[in-house]
Amino acid sequence: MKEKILEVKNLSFSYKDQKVLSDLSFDVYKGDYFGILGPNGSGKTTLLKLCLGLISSKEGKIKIFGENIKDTAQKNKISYISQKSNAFNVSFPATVQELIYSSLRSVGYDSKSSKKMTSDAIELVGIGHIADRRIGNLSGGQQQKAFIAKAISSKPEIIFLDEPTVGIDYGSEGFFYEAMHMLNQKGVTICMISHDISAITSYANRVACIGEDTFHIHESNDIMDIETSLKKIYGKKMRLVTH
Amino acid sequence: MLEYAFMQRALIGGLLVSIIAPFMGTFIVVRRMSLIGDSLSHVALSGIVLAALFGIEPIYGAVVITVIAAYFIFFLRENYASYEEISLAIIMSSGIALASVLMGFSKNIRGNFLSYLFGSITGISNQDIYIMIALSIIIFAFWGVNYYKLFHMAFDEESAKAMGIKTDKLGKIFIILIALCVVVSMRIVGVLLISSMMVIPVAAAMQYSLSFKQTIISSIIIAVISVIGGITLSFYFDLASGGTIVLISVIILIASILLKGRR
Repeated sequence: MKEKILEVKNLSFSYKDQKVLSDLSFDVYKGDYFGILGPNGSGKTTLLKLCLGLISSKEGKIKIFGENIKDTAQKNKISYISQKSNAFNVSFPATVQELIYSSLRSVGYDSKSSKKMTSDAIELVGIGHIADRRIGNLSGGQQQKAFIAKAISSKPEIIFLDEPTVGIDYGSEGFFYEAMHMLNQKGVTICMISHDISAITSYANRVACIGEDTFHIHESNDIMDIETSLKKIYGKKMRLVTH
Repeated sequence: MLEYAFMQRALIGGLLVSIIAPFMGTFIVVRRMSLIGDSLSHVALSGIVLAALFGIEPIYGAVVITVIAAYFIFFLRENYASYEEISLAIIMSSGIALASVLMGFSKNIRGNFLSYLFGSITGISNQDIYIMIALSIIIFAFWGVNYYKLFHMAFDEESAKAMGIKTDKLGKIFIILIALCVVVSMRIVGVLLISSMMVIPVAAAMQYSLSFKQTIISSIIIAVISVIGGITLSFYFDLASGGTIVLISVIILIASILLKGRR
C-alpha cells in the first residue's frame, strides 16, 4: 500500500463571503508527481497555501506526514517555490550561496552540514559559476535555478511549486521540468500548479483539474481524460501538445 | 575631548547606535519597511513628554509608548493587510498629535524637547547609557538566536513559513526591537533623525556590497565613521549632533553612488 504524504479531507475555504474551495478530498502519495490544473481564480494557489499551512481553514482537515499541518514538527521535510519567487525583491543583497546556506541554517542545520548541503545543491543544479553572484543580478532563468537549488538543498520529501516557470525562457523552462522529473525519479514527491497543461500531462502521474464547481482527480496522465475535464472547466476544447 | 565625562557617554552611546541601527536597518530596508523607524520615533516623542509630565526619566516613557505603538502597528496591519504603509502613516501622525497635545500641559519641557528632536551629546545621562546598554544586549541576544530565520523571512516570507519558521511571531518581535532601537538611538541622533541612521548607511553599503553580511558590516562601518565624525564636529563647532551625524552619512552615500557610477 502506498504511503500517504498529504491527506486533504472535506476542505472548504472562503475569502470573506466568497466560496473558493468546496468540500475537497484527496491524498498525495509518496513519489507522486501531482499536477494541479485550472483557470485563474479557481483556487489553485489557495489550495496550495492551505496544504502548506500558510493560511488556514475552519472547514476540513489537512495532514502532512500523518500530522495536522498546523502542529507538525516535520516542516523541514517540505520545500516551496512560490509564484512570488519570480518577482522577488530584485535588490536583495545576497549571493546565491549565502541564500541557500542561510535558508538551511534557518531551519536548524548546523554550519558544517549547511555548507556541505549548499555545495551539493549548487553542484547538482550546475550553478557553481554563479554561486558568488548577487541573486538580483542574475537572469530569470539563473534565478530559477538558484531557487531550485535552495528548494532541494534541505533534501525535502515533498516540493510544492506554484507556477514555477512564469517569466523564464523556453530553455530554462525545459531545464526546470527535467530537474523536477529527475528529483521525482529519486523519490521526491512533487506537487505542482501550472498553466502549462502539456508539461503537466507529460510529467505528472496524477492530475487534479480544478474549476469553479469542479474538482476531479485523474489517476493517470491520460490526455483524453484530462482534455474532457478541462473542456468542462474552461467551457471549450483544450488542445494538448506533448512535451 | 575625551576628558569630559559627557563626551565619554556620547561616544559609548554613539557606538551602540552605530552598530544596532544599521544592523536592524539592513533587515528593515530589504523588507521594504523604511518608514517604520520614522513612525515609531515620532511616537517616542509623546512618550518623552508623558514621562516629563509624571516626573520620570523620559527614556522610560519612550520605551513604554513605542512598544505600545508597535503592538498598535500589528493591529492596524491585520486590518489593512493590503496597505501596510497605512498603519505607519497612522502611527506617525498619532504620535505627533499626542506629543503636541501633551506639551500643552507642560510648559517647561519645551527647551529640553529640542534636544530630543535633534539629538544632544551633552544631554546623555549615566542612566541613559545604562538603559541603552541593557536594550542593546536584548537586541543582540535576539539577533544571535534568530539571524538566519530573519534572513530567510526577509527574502521569502512564504517559503520560510512553509518550512516551519514562525514568521508571524518573529515579525512582531522584530517590530518591538525596532521600537527599542529607536529608544537607544534617540538621545544621540534625535527622534527626527533616527530613521536615517537605520536607512542611509544601509543604502550606501548596498551600492557596492555583494552579500548580505558584507552589507551589514559595511553599513556598520559607515555608521561608526558618521557617528564618531558627527560627535567630534558637534563638540568642536557646537553643532547639533544628530544633524551632523546624518549629514556625514549622506555625504558617504553620495560618494558611494558616484564611485559606483565611475566603475
